[in-house]
Amino acid sequence: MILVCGGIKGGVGKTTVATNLAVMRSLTGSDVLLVDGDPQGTASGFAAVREEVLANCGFTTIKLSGNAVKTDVKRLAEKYDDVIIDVGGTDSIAQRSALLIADVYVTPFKPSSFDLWAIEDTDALVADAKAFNENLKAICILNMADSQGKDNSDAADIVEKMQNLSYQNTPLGSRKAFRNAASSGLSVIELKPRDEKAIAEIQAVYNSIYLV
Amino acid sequence: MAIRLKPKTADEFVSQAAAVSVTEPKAVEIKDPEVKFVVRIPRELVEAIDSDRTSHPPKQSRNSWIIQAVVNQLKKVN
Repeated sequence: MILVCGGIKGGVGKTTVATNLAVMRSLTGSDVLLVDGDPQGTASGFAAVREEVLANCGFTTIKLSGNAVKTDVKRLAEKYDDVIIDVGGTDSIAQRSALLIADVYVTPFKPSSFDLWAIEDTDALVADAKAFNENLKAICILNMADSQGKDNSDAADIVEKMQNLSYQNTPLGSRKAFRNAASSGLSVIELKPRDEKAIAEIQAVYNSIYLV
Repeated sequence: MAIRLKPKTADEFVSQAAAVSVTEPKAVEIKDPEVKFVVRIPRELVEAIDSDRTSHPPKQSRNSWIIQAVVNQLKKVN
């Protein structure tokens, strides 16, 4: 499966989702290729830290940009069980190239008005991509969800009205465990002490993508 | 709202990407007589430092961590 963590808004947790899923998938024995298609290179940085901390990252990471995200991944995908692509939060050539080869496109969003405006543009982008990638499954998940209040459900209501993105009700909370794990080169499921709520949340995301 | 033209081909879809390319950085000479030097740092090095800074949020002093990151990257380069 080629999974793309994308969207045209930065800072919504694309890399957090991509790196956690890469680790979780590799822990099942799957041969995973993590493609860092974001010029900021955060996913590559995560893999480098992970390699230093664990001596064995557990999956392969490469950096690609522009059209290479499509051409190189199409070629490499045959050699791996799973490919996870993390693209930057802009409407870029890398983003669009990834959309053309994705089986599943995951776009996280935060319960804020700015993010909800951006999700409309992402929905339109997916609409165009589906014309050339008919089997594309595009989902959006709520990230950095508030622990209380009505903002989460209000945001979900808006996103559920999108025509090309499916809202997946597996929200990730705004939890320190995700940040601590990332800075240590770990998935949140590997972090000690364990944050059971964070683990349950990312596991729900994983299950809805890989175990359906 | 910008008018969206429906792409006719996959190549056209990709070429419609709206991201603006980053301009080439230029060296800036400081005219102040007390501060007279030009810093030239490879872009890759700056990106690597920024990446490290992002993935390792500072715990005590942001400035001291950044300096440490620069030192680490310089060691790798050399």
